[in-house]
Amino acid sequence: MSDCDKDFENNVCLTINGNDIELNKFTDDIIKETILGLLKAIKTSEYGVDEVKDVEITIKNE
Amino acid sequence: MRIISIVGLKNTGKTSLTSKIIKELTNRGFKVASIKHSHHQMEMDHEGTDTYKQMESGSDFVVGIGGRTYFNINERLDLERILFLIKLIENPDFVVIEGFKAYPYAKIATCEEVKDDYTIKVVNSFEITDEEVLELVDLIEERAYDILETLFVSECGFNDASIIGQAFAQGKLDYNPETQAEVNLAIDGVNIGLNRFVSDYIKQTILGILTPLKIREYGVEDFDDIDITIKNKKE
Repeated sequence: MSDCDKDFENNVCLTINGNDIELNKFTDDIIKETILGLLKAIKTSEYGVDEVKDVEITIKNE
Repeated sequence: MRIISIVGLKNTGKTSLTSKIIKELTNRGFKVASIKHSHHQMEMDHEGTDTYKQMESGSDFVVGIGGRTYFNINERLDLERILFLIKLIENPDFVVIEGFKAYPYAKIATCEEVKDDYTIKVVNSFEITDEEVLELVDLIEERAYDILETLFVSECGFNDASIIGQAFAQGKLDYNPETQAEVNLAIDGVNIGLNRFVSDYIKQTILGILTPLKIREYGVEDFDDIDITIKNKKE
């Protein structure tokens, strides 16, 4: 890991076909903010979820 | 993933029927996961093992890895959560549950007393013939359905997941596993239902942002199964 990455902690954990994919800070942020943005439009409070903290998504792309 | 539970009063042959169903599903080439529900304290681990000592020392989540992998979690997880995690880890074709009679999934009852709107058949587990097991598994293939929140059907006039579930269980709607949600979402451990439009929208958007990633460097050729977890820490 290079020096400039020291302060950076991943918020996104991505696995494709069972393989962990490494993300740098930029892609981590983009994926996180894009998905959180999408999820804002969903009425999660109907499920008793008021604040979006831990998100888990699985996608089957067959 | 389709879910079937085998329910009945004590000593009505749930366990032997469960084993027969699992065997037949496996014979048909399906990947099967199973769950045993008990009202009693359950221990798969026992005194003297290293993993037991780790749990006794206060670890809340012990994993034993050898020829098999065991997860021992010091918490009672609810069924919906377990189903989501099974889907995340294995995505089997069928989950066979022994017990859990109060849950909204297709059921085989081993006695009349527990029959409800989700019961697809009541059978006498002690007298069932091999031929009848085959017919029973045919019925399971036809009626069992996925995690409630992931169900959707277009233009059927139903919009409540448990009503849709009952309609599948009663054979009023045809369940087609190929047309079900491709996105499964949980937020803070709660499964969130998505309709087809939202599911497609999320899927295509995420595929779009993942396309520029150099996944080949990780030995990945295609985007078949994608799992994402996000920690959204408040600043």
